[in-house]
Amino acid sequence: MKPITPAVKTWLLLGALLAGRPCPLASAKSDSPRRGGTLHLVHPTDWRSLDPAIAFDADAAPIQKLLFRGLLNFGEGIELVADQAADWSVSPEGRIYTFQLRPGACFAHGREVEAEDYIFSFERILDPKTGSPGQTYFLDILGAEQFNRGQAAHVSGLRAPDRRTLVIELKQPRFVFRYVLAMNFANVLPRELVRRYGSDFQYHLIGSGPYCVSEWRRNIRWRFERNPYYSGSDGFVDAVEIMIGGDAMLHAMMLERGELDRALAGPAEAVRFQRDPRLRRFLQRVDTANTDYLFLNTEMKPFDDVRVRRAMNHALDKERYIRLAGSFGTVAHGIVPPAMPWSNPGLPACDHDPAAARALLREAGYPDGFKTELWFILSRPADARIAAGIQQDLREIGVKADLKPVSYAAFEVKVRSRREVPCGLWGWMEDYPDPSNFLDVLLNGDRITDADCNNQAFYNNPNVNARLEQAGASNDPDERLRLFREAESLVMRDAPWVPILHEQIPVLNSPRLRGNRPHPVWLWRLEQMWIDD
Amino acid sequence: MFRPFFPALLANRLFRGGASIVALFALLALTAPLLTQAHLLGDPLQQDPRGLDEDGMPRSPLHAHALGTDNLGRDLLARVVHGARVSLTIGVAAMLTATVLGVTVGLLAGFYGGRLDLGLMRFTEMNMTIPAVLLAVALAGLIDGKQTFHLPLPGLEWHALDLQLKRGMVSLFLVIGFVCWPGMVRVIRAQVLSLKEREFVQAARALGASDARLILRHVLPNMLPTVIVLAAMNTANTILLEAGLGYLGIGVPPPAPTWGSMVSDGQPYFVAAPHVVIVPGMAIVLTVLAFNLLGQGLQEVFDPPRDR
Amino acid sequence: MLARLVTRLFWSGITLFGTAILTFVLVNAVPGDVARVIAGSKASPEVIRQVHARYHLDEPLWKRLGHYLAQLGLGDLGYSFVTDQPVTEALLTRLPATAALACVAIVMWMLMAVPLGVLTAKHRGSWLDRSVLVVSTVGISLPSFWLARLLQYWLSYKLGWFPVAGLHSLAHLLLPAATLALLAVGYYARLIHSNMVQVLQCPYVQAARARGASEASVLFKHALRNALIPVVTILGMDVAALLGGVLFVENVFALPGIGTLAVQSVFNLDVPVIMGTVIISALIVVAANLVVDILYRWIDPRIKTAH
Repeated sequence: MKPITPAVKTWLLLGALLAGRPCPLASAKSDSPRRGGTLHLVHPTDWRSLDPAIAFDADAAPIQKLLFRGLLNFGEGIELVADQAADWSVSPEGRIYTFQLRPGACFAHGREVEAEDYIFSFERILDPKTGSPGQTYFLDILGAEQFNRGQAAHVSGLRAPDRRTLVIELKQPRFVFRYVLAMNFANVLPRELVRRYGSDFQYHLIGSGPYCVSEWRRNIRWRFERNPYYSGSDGFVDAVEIMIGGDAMLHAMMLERGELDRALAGPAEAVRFQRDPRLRRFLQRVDTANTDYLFLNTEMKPFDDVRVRRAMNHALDKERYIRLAGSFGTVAHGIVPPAMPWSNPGLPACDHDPAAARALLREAGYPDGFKTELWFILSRPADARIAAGIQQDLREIGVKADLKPVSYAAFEVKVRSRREVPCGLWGWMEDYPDPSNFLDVLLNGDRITDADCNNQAFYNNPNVNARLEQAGASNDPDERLRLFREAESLVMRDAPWVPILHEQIPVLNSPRLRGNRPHPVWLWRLEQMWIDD
Repeated sequence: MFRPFFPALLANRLFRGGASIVALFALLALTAPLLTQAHLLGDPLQQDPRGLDEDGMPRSPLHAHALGTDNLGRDLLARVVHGARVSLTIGVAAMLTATVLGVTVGLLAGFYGGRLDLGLMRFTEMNMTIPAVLLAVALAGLIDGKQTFHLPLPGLEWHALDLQLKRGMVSLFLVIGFVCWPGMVRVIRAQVLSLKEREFVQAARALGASDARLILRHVLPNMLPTVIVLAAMNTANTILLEAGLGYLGIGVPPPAPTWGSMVSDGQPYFVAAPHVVIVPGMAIVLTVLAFNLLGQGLQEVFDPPRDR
Repeated sequence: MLARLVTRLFWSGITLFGTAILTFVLVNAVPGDVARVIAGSKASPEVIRQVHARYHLDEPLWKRLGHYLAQLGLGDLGYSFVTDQPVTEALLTRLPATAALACVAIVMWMLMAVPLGVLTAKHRGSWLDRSVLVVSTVGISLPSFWLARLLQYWLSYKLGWFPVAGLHSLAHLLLPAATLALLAVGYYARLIHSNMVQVLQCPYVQAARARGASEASVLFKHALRNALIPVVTILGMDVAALLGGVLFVENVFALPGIGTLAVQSVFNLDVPVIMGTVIISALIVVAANLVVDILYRWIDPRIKTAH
């Protein structure tokens, strides 16, 4: 390298001065996150528990990410990134996952996270005494079923060769298992504390996330403060306060008065913010990877006839339902939501065409229509409106649908039991960004059970089942894409569902909130938000 | 017996004001279904898509609908008038329940005195320690939640000018009546105590009249003015309580219009369309005020205070 | 005086006990299966049986009453069906908010009602007197939840004079308390007015005037003290009604008090919590009446000397 001459030095110095001087045209406001401040959030009801093994509500997920972390996470989009794993690899055949834990990742009480903590946390999910809804996701691990049935003291597929190495062996290759490790169920917990507190752990929540619980008054307030031992770069605000109670209108009033930073909007508030030019920019529409659908029980008359099912698809005016539900959603043409992201150009179209519907019914032997029961969940007001809309549309084609509003608990039990419910309104939000989460979980005929069945249409097409199995075992993204697309097309031709809409969640933000971009999987990431006063 | 009071009543401003509002609401309540059938009044249950604007928000008053529409596009005027049926029926039924209970307890306590009196008054005191609203919420909510009275009790379906007893109304007015009776007891008992010592009662007793005869022929009829005043003011309370329960979502289920549930249904739209909350609220205020004025007027005439 | 107090305490305890029995019978007599509610509709018969055993649901009512009273004596109000939290704990964390709201409301309306009552008694028939009369009747006709919403909208949201909801500071109590105060102030002003008018006509007041006492002294030292006695009594009886208004106001302003807990627990069919809220409300009423009793004897020297 040549020695620097005095002339060059002068130019370098001048350049440095010029570069360092603030440009008068640039704005004073910075776009880089600032640390500090308290984030004020709200939730109408308290969660039963924020314990990662128990909590399964979609709206508890962003809160959980403040307190708990695991091996993997989703990055800016749906790509998987290593979170508290420094390095990870999958064996060539896809059965063995090896993780090197990041040194310096600590729990809120100061201890470094160890591989044994992960083993403990996963076994806790598989332990029937915990009653975790996440059990099924971990049954792919070798030895998990035996542990779950009480035949083994530990899960043989979980091993910790040393303090910072974790090895997970599956029964057979399963591509989506990596996504399971990014779910909140797979967050790590400090084993000695969980053992000490037992079922009282929910009052002493400690995780390895950027924050820890400093106060919880049940049904009143949560307060989170910084985890002093957290080594990650996210978590910008100093504290998070979550008020419990009130309704959407109250929250909107509080937000406008500066008492809250973020709140979910009800239909009335969404319309009001939309109409007011000063407020419009504080309304955010978050696309969710969700599909709301009308399922048709293929094992019960008259929905055992594909022509009747296709008629139902033609009879419904989905645009109108979206307006009835407050205009927060996009029309669904397929099973898997586009927000996943997902596209399927070969999908057969099915337009609103009452004449075609009536023709199909005549062909199927129902020239005068038929009578049926339309089940839906009582406590979801949008569903009530949509059901009323569907009832009206069906009347046009001669189908008399009696509305049957049911409580959530009762609905869940009945629609998942065989030959109980002819048709009903439900929705599914993705657990992870893979089409199998919709097609395999909800429409695989091989997974049908007499009770607790996730395939409410009890749809069974061997062609579809075969493709889903193949895709589940494959590690090749292109092959999987092709198989899922073919499966979805076959399903739409058979029409066990009428997919209605993909929900959008309207959210209100305060003027001082930044970093609140929506996230395709987590909906939003509170740990990325910061306050600009 | 009341005839001498009539001119005084009609001259009393409070009584006139209260009675006219009550009469108006009662008339509207009784004739509401007829008015709807004759298309003079809208249909309280009809969800009209034209009742909502293009964003799905309720329409303001003084355009197509006199009082505007609610969150589902239903005509508010029709709902308020039909709501009067529910509120007045429950209010009056609850008041009758409370009066029967209160008069019975007060009468027995005052007339027989002694240990019965002590016991009954202690019992009343215990009932008064429990806040009425809280007890009503607890009982009515439990009855609702456990779905005890699914349908109107057989034999209790009655029609008076098409005033049908709806599901939930029976348990509601029984509960409200039940929490309101202790308030009347003290006054009733005091009245009975003073009447007991009056000459005509002593005379009848001397002539060998039985207790029952004394109570029914002599004491009760002379208590009537007090009871009527208490009844009027109690109706104000029962209507207020029914509105409160309806506001919390307890009581007559949707889509039946009740003023309280109309206020709570309208709340989410309050900022954007305040009339959805203000209109049913005003209905409650006017009706309750009317009964309070009625009661105060009656009190001034029947039992004038020594000072204005 | 002490003997009197002890007797009063004893009777209060009996009242409370009786109230607990009454509430228990009423609440548990409502037919319907609570076990399904606790365990969830998906529960297997085995779980239902366990729930029945744990909460003694199979035993006859009087036996369950006995269990409950025994626990009550030890200060144990049971556990919530929904959250498994001890009911006593849930109530105690919420008691301060409710008590504070009630106290601030009472102070507010008494501070307004006393001067109004005195002034209107002195200047009967004036526009002030007539206005107070109107406010009094209208005040008892307003639904508390409606007034609360309107005030919240206008004063907190539109004008920003008060916080909208929650309880982070004393300022958050002002508007809720003001709502309750507005409902009662007219009534109490009228009450004080009527009592003052009566008292001012009494011989001993005339005597004081004759002795040359100043008008202010006559009004406040002699007349007011006696006029307030029945008012204090009524205040004690009114605490129960006040708690009813508190229930609605707490819900509108999302205050973490017993009122919000009561409403939530009713919708969850959480019987132990429902019982707990009723009993603690009764406790507040009994305590308030005790305080009233003590104040009564302090204000009215005649009663003190008579005993």
